[in-house]
Amino acid sequence: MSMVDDTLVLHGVRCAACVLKIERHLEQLPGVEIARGNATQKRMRLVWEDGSQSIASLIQDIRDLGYDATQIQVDQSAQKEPSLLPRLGVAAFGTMNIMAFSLSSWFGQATDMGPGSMQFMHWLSAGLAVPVMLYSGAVFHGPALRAMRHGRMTMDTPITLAIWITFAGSLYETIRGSEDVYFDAVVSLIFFLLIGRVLEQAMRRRTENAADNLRKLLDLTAHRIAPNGEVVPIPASDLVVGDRILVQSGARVPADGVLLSARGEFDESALTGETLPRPALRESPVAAGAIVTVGPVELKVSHVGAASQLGQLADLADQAASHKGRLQLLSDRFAQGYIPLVLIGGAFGFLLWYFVLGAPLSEALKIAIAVLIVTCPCAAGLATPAVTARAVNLALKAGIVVKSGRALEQLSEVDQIFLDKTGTASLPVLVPDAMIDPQVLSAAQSLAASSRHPLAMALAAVDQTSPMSGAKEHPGQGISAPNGARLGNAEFVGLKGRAHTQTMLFYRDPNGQITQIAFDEAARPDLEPFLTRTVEMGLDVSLHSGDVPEAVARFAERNGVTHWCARQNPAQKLDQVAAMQAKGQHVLMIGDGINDSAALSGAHVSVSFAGATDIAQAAADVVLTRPQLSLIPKAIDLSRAARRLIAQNLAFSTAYNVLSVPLALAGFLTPALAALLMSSSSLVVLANGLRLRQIE
Amino acid sequence: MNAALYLIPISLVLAVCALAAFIWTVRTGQYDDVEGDSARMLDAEDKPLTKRKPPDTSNH
Repeated sequence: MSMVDDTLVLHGVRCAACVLKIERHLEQLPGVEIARGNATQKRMRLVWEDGSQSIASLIQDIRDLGYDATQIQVDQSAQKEPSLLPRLGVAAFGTMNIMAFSLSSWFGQATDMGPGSMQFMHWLSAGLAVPVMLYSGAVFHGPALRAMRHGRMTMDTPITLAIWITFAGSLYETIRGSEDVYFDAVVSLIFFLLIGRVLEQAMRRRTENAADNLRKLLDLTAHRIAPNGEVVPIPASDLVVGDRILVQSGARVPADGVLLSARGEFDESALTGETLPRPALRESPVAAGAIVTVGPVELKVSHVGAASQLGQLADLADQAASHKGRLQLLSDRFAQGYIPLVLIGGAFGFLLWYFVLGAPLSEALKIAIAVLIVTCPCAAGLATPAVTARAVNLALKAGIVVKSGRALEQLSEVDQIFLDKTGTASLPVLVPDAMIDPQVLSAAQSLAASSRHPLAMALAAVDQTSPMSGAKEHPGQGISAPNGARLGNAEFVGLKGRAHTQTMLFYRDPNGQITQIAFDEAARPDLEPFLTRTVEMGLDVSLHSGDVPEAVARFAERNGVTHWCARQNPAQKLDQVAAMQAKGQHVLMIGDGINDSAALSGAHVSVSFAGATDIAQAAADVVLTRPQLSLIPKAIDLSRAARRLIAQNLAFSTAYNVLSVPLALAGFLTPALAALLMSSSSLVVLANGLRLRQIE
Repeated sequence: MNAALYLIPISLVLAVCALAAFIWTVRTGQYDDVEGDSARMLDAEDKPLTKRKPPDTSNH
């Protein structure tokens, strides 16, 4: 009996309990041998008897539970970065044992331990330190040697020098039979530094995995509609822009597209986190990864693969992961300047004590090593990345993709917010003017309910009115009721010579009284809390729109925005930003359109969101995965908190070096004490970064 | 000091065993899903690791 072994990516899984629920359900199915989920990776391995189940039926079972899954080809041949845990284990083993021997020889010095026993302890320590140096230490001297071969220095260079000089010095002292050796300092230094590396590796794997899972949503079978109307299943990767595709109810949309069917409904939770399905009309854009809840629907493909919104989202997540790499680069650059100073400091200490003060060689060497270890720029190098990496990750979890550490810094300096109106502050939904007499409004609504015209639908949708019986629709003009009431354009209700705008209807009641019904764009539901919060934070918000002044004024007034500019073309928007920044203000631009992109690039920092135009997303420094304005004050809060912590860290590491270097040069620090100081200074900086709290 | 001569080897052997056990846990992927495993123990059902074992019915 043959078994099938497959791995699925789970979607919609929020915590370990969801994974366990799926496991329990699948394990009781006939033929299923193993259903083992991984809540960290959001993946599940399934092993079942061939023939008893199929991958499709198992995925359907997961869907019935309210989740979703896609198959993933686990690439066995792919080179996975090996875990650092065994190296940490060896370092821990060496540290614990050598510490025990050092402790006994320290006590031995005070009591009655003979020189023979002392020697024995030292040789044991040396023997135990060798595997730690060669195996665990390779994490540092490996990259340092590679960099050195290219004539460069990295953060690993002084660490490598310090640990190998200390090791060599201790070995020399052991052979000489002296009392002081520092194997414990070397191995504990490696152990503490490795803890940091292990945590970093775990974090990086997590982000890469998340980006991978996101991309799997695109790995689907698409149904292309051939010119002769025949539906052909093809891999989604073979789709090209312009293809017509058919997506069944319950299936995932394989590429970004434009709706060709009259209407449809889409669950975009994988992209936006929004759980309510979004209804869409003909010509609306639909993003890949969305699930069709009411279908089947026909779509025209507009973006495929990596160009689609989802592909970009995955790339952004990857960028956030590799972002760490860039920070590493930055600290390496810092190291280029700093490390020679460390080496000069160490050499200076040695020369001073050996030649000038006439200390014995071992004493002078000890001081040089203490200087090397204590000045190791770990705390200073970690001060910024420890906080930034955590802040970027926390933001990503809340649906805020911060494209660079610089953007995070700039976000904390903002004091002006420029808000685009259409599509950013408002939704592409029209609502009738709130000033209309409610009686007139309800009468007009009952007429509007029997029409499919967009404005009539917007009017009727305010509260679900039942259509008036006997109403007659006059296409392109309006609707008339048997009692003589009319709803339609100016001419239709008998108004002559009135300019008719796109967003206006006229209602004539049976007595001939005419009411004008104007439409406004609906504000985003969280615009009001966003404005309240920004006022609390001391930020000025102004509205910048390309729309006509009347519309902008009405929108601003209705929503309590005091400053606004209308009829702004892209260049003017940019000029406004530049003028404000010339006054020393830092402008945050929020926009979604092509017309905002210049201002987005010109602003101190800019925010756009998934679903905005590609060019706006590319120009923005921060992209929100769900279009919620309320995320922006949260992001600013986070960046301000991060900035405070970075400042504290830098102050701390500077103070640490200012105090410790003279102490080491003066000979007050033993290498062991120096290692303890250095490690604890790094840990303080790391722990300070952890004080950043999650955005709810 | 005589005691140390056999106590030290014993402690080293024990430490090597602990290290070997730790490396075994890493190799067998026991740290791959710390999030899920921490919740798994709260899963009330006591179930055998594989389904091949016949269910234990003697208590019922």
